[in-house]
Amino acid sequence: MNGRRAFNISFSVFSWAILGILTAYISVIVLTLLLRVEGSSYGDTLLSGRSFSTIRLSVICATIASVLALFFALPIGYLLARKSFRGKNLVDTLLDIPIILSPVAMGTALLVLLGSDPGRFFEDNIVSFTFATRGIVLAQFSIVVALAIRSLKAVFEQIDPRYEDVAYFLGCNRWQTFLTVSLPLAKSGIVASFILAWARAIGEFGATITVAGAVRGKTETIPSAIYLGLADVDIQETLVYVLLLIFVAVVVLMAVRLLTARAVR
Amino acid sequence: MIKVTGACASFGSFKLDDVHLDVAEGEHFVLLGPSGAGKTLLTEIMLGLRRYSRGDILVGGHRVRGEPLDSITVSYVPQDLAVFPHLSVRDNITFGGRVRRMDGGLVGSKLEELSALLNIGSILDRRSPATLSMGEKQRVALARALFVEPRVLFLDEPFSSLDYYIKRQLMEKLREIKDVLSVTIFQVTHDHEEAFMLADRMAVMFDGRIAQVGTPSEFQTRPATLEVARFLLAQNIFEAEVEQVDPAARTMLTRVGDLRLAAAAFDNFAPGQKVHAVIRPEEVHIIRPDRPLGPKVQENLFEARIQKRIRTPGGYVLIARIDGLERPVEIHVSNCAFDDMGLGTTSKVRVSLKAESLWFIPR
Repeated sequence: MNGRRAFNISFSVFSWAILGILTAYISVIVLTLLLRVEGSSYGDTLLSGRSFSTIRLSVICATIASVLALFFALPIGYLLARKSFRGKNLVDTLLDIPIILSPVAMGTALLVLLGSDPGRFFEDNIVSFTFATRGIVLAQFSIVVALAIRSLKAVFEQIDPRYEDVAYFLGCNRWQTFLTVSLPLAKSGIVASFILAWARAIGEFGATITVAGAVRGKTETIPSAIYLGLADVDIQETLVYVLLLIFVAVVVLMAVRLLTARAVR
Repeated sequence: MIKVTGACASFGSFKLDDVHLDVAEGEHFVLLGPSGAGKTLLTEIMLGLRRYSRGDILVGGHRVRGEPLDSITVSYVPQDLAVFPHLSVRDNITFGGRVRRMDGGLVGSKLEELSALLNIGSILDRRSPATLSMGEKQRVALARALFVEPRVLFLDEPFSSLDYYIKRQLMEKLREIKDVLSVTIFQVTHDHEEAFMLADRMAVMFDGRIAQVGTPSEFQTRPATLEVARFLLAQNIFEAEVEQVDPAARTMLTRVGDLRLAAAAFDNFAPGQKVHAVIRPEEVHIIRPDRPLGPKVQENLFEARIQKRIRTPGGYVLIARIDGLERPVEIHVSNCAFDDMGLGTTSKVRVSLKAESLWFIPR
């Protein structure tokens, strides 16, 4: 009996210690950053015209990319949550590729696609992506849509299909069922998915720089500004951008946590 | 109103096997069975929420084929009720009216009628159903289902999560609703009491098969199989053999253990046939020593020793031994009969295994 008690205690000590080590590790990272940045750098960086356009471009692109991603992910997530069909596993796997794939590989693949004959025809005659702002949106969308599908699928899986059955028997058609029952019930989850997608998009680097490049003042997003800042050895500006992304991450994570707690209710 | 002919379906390792059901218009039909018998599955198939592989299902004359029917109004109250959490109580109830673009005045008058019928006037203004009790939620779900004036109302275990006394109240309410609105009801339950109190006719289902269909009293007095008899707690089941049959008098003599029991001959039994003799615990009659024997209890009289007394809400279960029977018999008596006959203190009683209450199932 005493032996068991000793094991129990040592297990508690072990897990708490591990938790302590990792929390301390991340806290030290953030703290070091905070200590390295001089007080005046915040103002110098964030109030400059260049950083304003960088942040604005990042926010606009991430927002468009996540809205587009949601537009695709809502019906797809719903379908994957509700229906089983032949080849579903294959489709599921295909849609998951961008989650696992290295973003720079995804970007390269996109470049190859855009460089192919039909791709070039599209670029020349309809809309051009390479080394343009639209390329940032395309790159971010391609990375983020898979994430949005995953999380919305989980959201719809949590909603009992009985609600939809009952609505259907009460006279709704499938569109009405989706719009008046499924969508409102998924509201918190949808907002959470959007925020997650947005946060992933605003921090996206590998695919963005491959497709759109990092042209100062033209296709410069926050992550590419960090990259360019490091190349120019402009440490203070770079660190302010890093802290800005950390700040966004913290706000997003807290918001999502609150929203999902409400959704589970 | 509902006709199921030879419906078969399989879901994983579970099979619905050759199901036949016939529910008349205006009937309250109850599908009774233990959990896992496939009741919900069958209901979902009848609603068109699941596909079936063989057979035929008609609801209101329309063929159900793996899609919910559009051509006839049916309402469905699932086991978990599915009261919409994002809508107010009022909007929940009038949901069907809004979807069907009912005239505002009509919506108001129907709401009034249903809230009076179901006593839910006081909760109509709640902005969310989250704070409703289970009984209130149940009423809201019923009101919502009735709002669209369904021709058939499907209820899946409607009372299973309610406290006993609320359940009784709501069961009475449901009978009233059926009489007032004359709607056909198909109800699924695992609860005997619910079935016997509400059903015009019922079916018992085990393992994806319908074991018997009939009126509640047929189930009480004439269970079709041993499984049904056991499920409906006909506790006294003995192996027996037919000795003599008198077709003219419609009586027969059977041997149960060392006893000979007279019985009514319901079926074409032949002498020498092996059967199970069944008598419900409520039908074992304790003879009052101070009173003359009534006409129905003059046969099959035996001495019995009470071995155990178990209290129930309305009376007692007595376990008594009769010499010559391999197992003790179970007897149900009401509280007042128990007190009247002083059964708390005596251990010897005379009982009649009433001839007309004995039922036989071929072995």
